[in-house]
Amino acid sequence: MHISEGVLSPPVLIGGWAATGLVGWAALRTIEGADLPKIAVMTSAFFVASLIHIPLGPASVHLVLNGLVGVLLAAGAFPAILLGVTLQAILFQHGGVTVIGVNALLMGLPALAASAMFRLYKRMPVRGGTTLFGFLAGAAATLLSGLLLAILLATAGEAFWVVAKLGLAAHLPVMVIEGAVTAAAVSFLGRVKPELL
Amino acid sequence: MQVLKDKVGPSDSIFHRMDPRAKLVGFTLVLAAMASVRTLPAAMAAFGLAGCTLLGARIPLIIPARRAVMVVLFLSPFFLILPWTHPGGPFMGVHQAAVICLKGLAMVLTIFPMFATAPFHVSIKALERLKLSPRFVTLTLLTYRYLALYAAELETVRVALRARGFRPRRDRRTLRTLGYVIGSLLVRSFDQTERLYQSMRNRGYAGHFGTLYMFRPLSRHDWSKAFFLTVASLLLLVLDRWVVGRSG
Repeated sequence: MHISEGVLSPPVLIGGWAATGLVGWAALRTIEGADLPKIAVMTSAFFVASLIHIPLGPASVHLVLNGLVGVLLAAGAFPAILLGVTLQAILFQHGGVTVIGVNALLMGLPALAASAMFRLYKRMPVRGGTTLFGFLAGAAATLLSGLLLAILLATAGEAFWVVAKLGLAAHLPVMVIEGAVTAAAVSFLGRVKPELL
Repeated sequence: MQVLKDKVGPSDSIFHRMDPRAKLVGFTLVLAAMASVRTLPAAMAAFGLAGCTLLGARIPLIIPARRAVMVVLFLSPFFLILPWTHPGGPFMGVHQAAVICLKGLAMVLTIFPMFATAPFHVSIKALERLKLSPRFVTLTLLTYRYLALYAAELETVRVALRARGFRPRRDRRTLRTLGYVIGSLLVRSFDQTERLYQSMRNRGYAGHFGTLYMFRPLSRHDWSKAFFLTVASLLLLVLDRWVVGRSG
């Protein structure tokens, strides 16, 4: 669910970089030096997990897991996703360099929202709610990413409004997949290593 | 599994020899100019410029060509949609799709001379010299170091799944299994973090990673190559504005 090079106008790209720089800087300030290895190691695990493809209809989609990143890394999720997007651009030439800013926002802000949602649940836990809230965090992050993608595409001009709607529609089935995988991963971690949540 | 490569092709070219700081700044200007292009002739020129720098970097063309095919596939839906939705009519729609496609290709291809002509850690250290946050640099280098490890671990799990008769299907069971796989990958990675931090501290980590690469002051050649990239970016912008001006 990334925006590729060539579509967005320079003001939008610059705005994306500025907002990403600001959010990233604020997030990095909240992280302790001792937490850096945890975030780094988790980022590489997430990056590798995003190489998993899941059959969907006639095609297949790869996992993004920004909801799960948010649940596990809280504020660290934003730099983690920024880094993931950067590595994808530099090492695999996925997306691109000038769109790193907007793409980090596209996936990073929903991750922060998922993190907030899951923290709300942790404050008032319900029996068996881990799986449910895992699903909600994963699905909501995907839905928000789809909405942000549609808004960004719509800035490219009237001609792109249909593309924006199609992009958003494509996120609906992915929402279910991301929700289900996140729910399974969260319930697994809840049983195996609850201190991670 | 994809192999992570930061260097492709021969290790000597005008861009391999260029100072990484000057190279990154120069190519950033090129990318910025390419991103602002709005007309077809300028988009073609951008594509040509990307091709020239790619040849200059002496990268075997098969690798960028494979990426280019992926980019075209990703952007091809615009050719099907924009002709119907563009307010200026089908011709303008095709025109805009072509501009997007050429720009996108040019910018993706430019990543090769920009980043594939130096080891990854050197490029990242160069970014640190250019005032990227040291914390983000630490994060990047650690993540990069662990990517190959987890890629190998995921491969092991895949073999284990296949040995037990797992086939990815369109059902809940598949999604749950993959969720568990990701969960176990995260548990294993988390177990490593404590040891990782301790060993970093043991080797004297105090907020900065060292590298054996020596940054030297920019030479005359670095300046002239950076100057060439700057002029090329400016020419691209001038061409774009000139075409816009002529078509009214």
